[in-house]
Amino acid sequence: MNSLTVEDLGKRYYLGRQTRSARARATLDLGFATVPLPWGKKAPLRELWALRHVSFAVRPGTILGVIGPNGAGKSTMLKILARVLRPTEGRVVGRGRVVSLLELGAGFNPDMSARENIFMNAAMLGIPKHEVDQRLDAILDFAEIGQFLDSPLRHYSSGMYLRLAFSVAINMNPDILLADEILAVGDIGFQERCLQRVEEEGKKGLTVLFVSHDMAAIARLCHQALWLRQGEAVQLGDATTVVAEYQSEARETLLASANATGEDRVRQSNRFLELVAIRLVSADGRVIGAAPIAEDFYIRIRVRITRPPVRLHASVDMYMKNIHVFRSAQPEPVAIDERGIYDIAVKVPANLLAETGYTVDVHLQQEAGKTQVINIPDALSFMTYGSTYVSLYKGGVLMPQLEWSVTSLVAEAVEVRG
Amino acid sequence: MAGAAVAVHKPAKWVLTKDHGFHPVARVKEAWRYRRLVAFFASQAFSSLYKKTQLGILWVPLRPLVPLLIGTVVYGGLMNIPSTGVPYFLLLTVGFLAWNCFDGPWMWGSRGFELNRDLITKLYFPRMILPLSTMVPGFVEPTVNLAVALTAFIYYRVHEGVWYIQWGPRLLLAPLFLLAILFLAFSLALATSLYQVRARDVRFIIGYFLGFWMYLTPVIYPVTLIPLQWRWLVWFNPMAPLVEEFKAAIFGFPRPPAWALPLALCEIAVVFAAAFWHFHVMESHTADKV
Repeated sequence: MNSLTVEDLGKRYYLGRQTRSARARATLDLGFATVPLPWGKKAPLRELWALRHVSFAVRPGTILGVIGPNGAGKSTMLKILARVLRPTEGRVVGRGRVVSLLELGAGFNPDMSARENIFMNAAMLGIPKHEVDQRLDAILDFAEIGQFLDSPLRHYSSGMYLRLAFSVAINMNPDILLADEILAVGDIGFQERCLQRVEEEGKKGLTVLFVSHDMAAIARLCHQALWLRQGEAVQLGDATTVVAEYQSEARETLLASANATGEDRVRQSNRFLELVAIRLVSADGRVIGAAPIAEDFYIRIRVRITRPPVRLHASVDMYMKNIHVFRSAQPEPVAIDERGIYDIAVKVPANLLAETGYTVDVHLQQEAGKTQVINIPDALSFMTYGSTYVSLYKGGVLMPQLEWSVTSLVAEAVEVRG
Repeated sequence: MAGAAVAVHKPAKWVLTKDHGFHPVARVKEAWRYRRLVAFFASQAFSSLYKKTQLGILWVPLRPLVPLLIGTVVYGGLMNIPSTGVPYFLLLTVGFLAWNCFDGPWMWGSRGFELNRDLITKLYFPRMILPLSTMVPGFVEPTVNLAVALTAFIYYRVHEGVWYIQWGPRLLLAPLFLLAILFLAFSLALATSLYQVRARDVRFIIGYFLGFWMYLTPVIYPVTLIPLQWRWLVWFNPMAPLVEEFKAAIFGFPRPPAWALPLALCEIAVVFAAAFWHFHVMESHTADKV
């Protein structure tokens, strides 16, 4: 008996009709034929299959990782399973209570206390009050919010928010838990506890669908993994195998595009800000495609603030192949009170990187009021050049210029000679 | 305990497809399980009501009182609309009490999706809850009207020595007419809330529509103002028999013809069935298009 069976699932979106000007450009006519007449032939609707022909089955107790690049349909699939979206094709057969964590803090009201929010959240999952009464202690215990129980959620840090959200979800005794990238926030200690708890519940029959870009976590935590690409399932199988295949393909793509693209791949926005561009910039302000090792350069994140005030906390993760080289974050969030375009730049000092290819993930966390996170995996990929160690073996994920010294120690020298 | 629970635990099976099929009873049952959300969404809508206003809570009595006073002066005084033996102010207050059970709740209910736009793309819950619970701020005005009416009745008792209320068993029916009106408002809100979330114009259209509708309903005038040969036409508007029955129950006026009320109830049933079906069909695409 499977706990979740997905059969030929598909989700179609319509992107609207082609615009008149686009058609005019495409057909090179001068506009007569493009005047929209009610009886005229309408341009066809452009359609996009966010998900198509996806089939798989999961047994109770399985932790299934869902991986794939952005736009692969991972979140769409989770939303269908969470009943937020209706499928266009196919069907899903499941058993038991589904609890979803699609976005941190969805269904939480920042003006209400933790206690009120717990009851509210449970009500949104359709869970009777007496069940919540029984589990209140367990929820609070796991969330570790202690004396903040009765203070409004707006005073919570994003970590506390996450702990509360996760604790409510896992303690609602779900048969199926859907988690979308939610564990990416929060400190390592709590992530570990979440993963541990998920594992424990998995042994009792909990099925988990876990979307993440954190391949290490997928490989470590999941029994199986499903790899989606452009809405279609590429591979389903043992998590470590699928992750390895996915990573090797990602690496090939990177190498193929590594000829100094330096371009951002994604344009994203939320209700507070819009990401305009992510670029590599030289010390004198030019946009560059590859980074000189011997000079300082900048990773510049250009954002348009659409709804101030925001408190922006940016961080970058640098990867070489699939090794997480380092993370760097702004020491503290910056408050921005005016609309406009802002550049956030992080200086990568000269003589730090090795001569190889890197990819950068960018995270923008908006912390005023409701926390919102924009994650841009593979935001930038670039090669480095001009290593000063011309004749040496160049290895490692970093090749920092550290301070070296040679000191002569006479006494020892004498001993050796003796 | 957990181990035992797992052994006994046989989770119910569910299926998701393009069309879930139309199972009205199951839908209502499901909504009932989520009933605690009504209080939550209602309080959310309430807090959006007088937020960022200078007078704040003062608006609660002010908003229904102003039209009452203006209406009394304009319709009762200047236009001299007859009031069939009761002070015009009372006729208007009681009429508005019934009417405000309709226009406010419908307007508010149709904002259910719009006010919770963020949530519907992230969480599942029976969507029916939304128009139902955001109707609640619309209850404020009828409540104030009720208080005004009671005060006025007592005032006239003290100063003129007359009870304009017709004490009797029919008075007990009065709340039922208001309930029927609320139900009609809910049915309409069910249908319009799904459009409101896509185009906020809907709210303005409803506003014009309601203004027009009110003049078709004997709210600011007694139904006797309409010539007898045309009066039967009035009763086809489902609001007319309900408002008139309500007034009749309170003041002891002659009741509308016997067929008017059953007709109105049938009309409401049809409107509800159509709205419910329409809601079922439309609701499935809503999260895509918000």
